[in-house]
Amino acid sequence: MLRCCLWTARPVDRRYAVPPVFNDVLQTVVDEVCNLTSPEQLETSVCDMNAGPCLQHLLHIFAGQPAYNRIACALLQWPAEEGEPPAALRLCKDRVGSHLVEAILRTCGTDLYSELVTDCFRGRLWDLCDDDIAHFVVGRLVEVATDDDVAIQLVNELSPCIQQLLTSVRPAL
Amino acid sequence: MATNKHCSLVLEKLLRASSPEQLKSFFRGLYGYFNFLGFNRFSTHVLETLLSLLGPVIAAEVAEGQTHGVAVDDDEPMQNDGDGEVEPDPAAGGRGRSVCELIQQLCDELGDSWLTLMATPGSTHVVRALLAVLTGREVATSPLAGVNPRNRKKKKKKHKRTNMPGDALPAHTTIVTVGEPKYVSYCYVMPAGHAAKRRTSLSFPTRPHCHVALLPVDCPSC
Repeated sequence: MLRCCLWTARPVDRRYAVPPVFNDVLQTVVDEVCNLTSPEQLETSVCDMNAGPCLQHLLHIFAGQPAYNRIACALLQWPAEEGEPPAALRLCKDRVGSHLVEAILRTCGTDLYSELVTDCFRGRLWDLCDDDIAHFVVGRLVEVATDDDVAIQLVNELSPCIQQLLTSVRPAL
Repeated sequence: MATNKHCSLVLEKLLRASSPEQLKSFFRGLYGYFNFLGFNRFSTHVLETLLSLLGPVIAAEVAEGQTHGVAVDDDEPMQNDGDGEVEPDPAAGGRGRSVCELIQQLCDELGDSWLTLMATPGSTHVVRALLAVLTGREVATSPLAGVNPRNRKKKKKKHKRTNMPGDALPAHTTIVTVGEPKYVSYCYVMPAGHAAKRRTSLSFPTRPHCHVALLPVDCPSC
């Protein structure tokens, strides 16, 4: 039990001073993720069980920084091209990619969250709820809603099918 | 030694017991071999352990303004690889170089393709440790790191696939969601004519890193 607690315990967020030149190295990582990689390769990496958690770590590192939105948009391939469904929907239904979408929802600011809900998720929640994996993302989407208007939108969309949600086998919901 | 299954464990223990100067010395000794060590399944653990211990050393260098190292040898041996590019000679080691410079060298050697590196099973941990070091964070290591794998408690693998929340469950199955939504409890009773069987605990990954534990519940039909 103790071992279990130790394992799940988060490390203390102690920070050490680093030289400014380290920022240049980090910038090369960001540049490769955002600019130098094709969308297909990036999606493969996001859905890879080794690279996915590493990219989540990158998101946590840059949370709250100016480069964050650039990284998040690149990983989600958002905004999508005209007429194309958002790549985020594909990621939501992937076993590894869904964790990255959840990480983005946890770490993104209110503005990006609202835009993502409006552009990617609104009108598609029931489709996601019906998926074995994507319903975890919907659960997270509702959990991290801080904006009242967005929360009301989500509840309004989910409330007609609340009876079905309660009877279906969806642990995250 | 770092690429050896058993010696790498000894090295990791030695590193944890080392002083900052000893860590620096060891890190300098790896100079020129980072690319080789970054892809080996055993030496990546040594690299990860080393990186996890370097935070305070780097902070001390920054505080003392020694991030550029000391020029101890102006005619440091260099290797010409034939393309006109001059590469550092591993035999010369990282003499006089600061840890910050060695970290940069490590990134230069490993970082030809960060995404490929992230997707490589052994190297992904090194990349994560490297990202933590570059941002001045502590490297998250497991409490079992450094413990001989033979001494770790082995988990019994269940090869038989069990019912999952997404599956159609048989009759007489009660599913109760308790506490965190990741945890599901249910009581499962075999249909009439079969031997009664009640499951009280079950663990299965619905997705990687997400386990569902089934807790014992009182089922009214049992």
